[in-house]
Amino acid sequence: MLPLRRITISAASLVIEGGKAIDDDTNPGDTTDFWFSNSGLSTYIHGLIVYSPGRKATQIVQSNYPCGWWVAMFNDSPSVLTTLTGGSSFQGVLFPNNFVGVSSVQAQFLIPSQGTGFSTNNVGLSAGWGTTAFVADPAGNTQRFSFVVVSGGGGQSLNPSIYIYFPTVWPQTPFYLCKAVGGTGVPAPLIGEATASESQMNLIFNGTPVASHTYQIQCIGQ
Amino acid sequence: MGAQINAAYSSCPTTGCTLIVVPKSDGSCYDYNTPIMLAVPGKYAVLQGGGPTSEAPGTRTTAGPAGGSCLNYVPTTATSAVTLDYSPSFGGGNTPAHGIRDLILENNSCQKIGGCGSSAIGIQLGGTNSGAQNGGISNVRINGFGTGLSYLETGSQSWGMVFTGISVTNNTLGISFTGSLENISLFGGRIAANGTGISMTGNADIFAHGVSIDSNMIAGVKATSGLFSCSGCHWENESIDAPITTHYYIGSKPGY
Repeated sequence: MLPLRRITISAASLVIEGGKAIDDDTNPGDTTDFWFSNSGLSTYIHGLIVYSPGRKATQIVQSNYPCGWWVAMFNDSPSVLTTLTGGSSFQGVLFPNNFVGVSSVQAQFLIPSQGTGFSTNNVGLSAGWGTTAFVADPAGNTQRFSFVVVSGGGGQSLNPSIYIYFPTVWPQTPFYLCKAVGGTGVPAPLIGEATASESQMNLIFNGTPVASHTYQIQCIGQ
Repeated sequence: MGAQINAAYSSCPTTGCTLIVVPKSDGSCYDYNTPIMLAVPGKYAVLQGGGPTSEAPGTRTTAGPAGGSCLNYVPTTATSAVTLDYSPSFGGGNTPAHGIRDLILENNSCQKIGGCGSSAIGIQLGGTNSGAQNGGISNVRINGFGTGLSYLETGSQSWGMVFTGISVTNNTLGISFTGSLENISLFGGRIAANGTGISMTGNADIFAHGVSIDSNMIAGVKATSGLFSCSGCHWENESIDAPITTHYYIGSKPGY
């Protein structure tokens, strides 16, 4: 309530909520160094609109060490004002026009609502599973899925293949781990995860399936 | 007119009074040379224009001559055109209804961007006592001075002041905040066409709302300390003549 005679923290702080900042210089050949610069305590800008019809800026907000900064602004001249923040201070965060998501989450990709479900159409079998073999009980999605191979008919052979086509294409090559986890048949080791591309992989069942027996396979990828 | 206002203030009751500047019949500003000193502790004052202010037609970059409720302080030496220093050093901080309103205060008729090299101060707050704590300055234009508004750190500080719709223009320095000022508020108005708009060299907290900070030649706000908080403000630089700097804010630490 009463004025403080002395405040011990003695450096500049800037807070801007909303508002508009304009450079009226229309000459695209001109460049200025900054609009807001702070080497003091902190800079907080939220909801400011910036616009320039011509003159460029090395940065709109220059934060020099040790100034912390938090900048969320709308750039109305993205082709002119190409850099919103700069300076020697690294203690800050920028939320530009096109910001989506939260920067602290790290993953190859996130699928809203778990994406397309895993179905029998995502599995192909080689002849070594038998002439009437088929796939049943699909579950999961691209990043974790489960299915059952039912061996049938004749022609079973050693090391038959399973072809997996991912329901959602990965943005980059995934790593998978797959295992025979159950069924009525004797489980055998699976190999082939290293063949995975963005869209598919080929697994090999290191054994010989037996007709009328089931083999449950599960995979996890990331 | 300065001497007349001082005399009128002298004749006020010990608690203060309202001093009304009635516009001249020809509409021009009152030229005056005697600094206005409203500085008796506990003797509060309202210095008020008795009619509208005016401005004659000018150009896109140069204002026309001022008139109406208008005081033109002629000296350009290191003096203060108006001193508000009536708040007691301690104990006067919650007193409302005093200050300056509805007036133009200019220095030697200067209306040039960046000022005219004057050393004079427009309104000095503090000096011996505690300025005009919790006072208001509204609908006032201050133009052409070396420093338009100057806070001095003296008894305590002239904290809690509210500025509404002021125009601080064409000064070498628009507003100088020194000292540990608490809660200075600006509502509307403009800090425009000065050399530097606002200088903060103490730990002031300044809260601006809907203020234009426009076309100041060196910087809009220059701060070595303190908090400048601006909501819904407009930052611009006219470029009808040579382009003006985009240095809307420059903050640092003392000594830099």
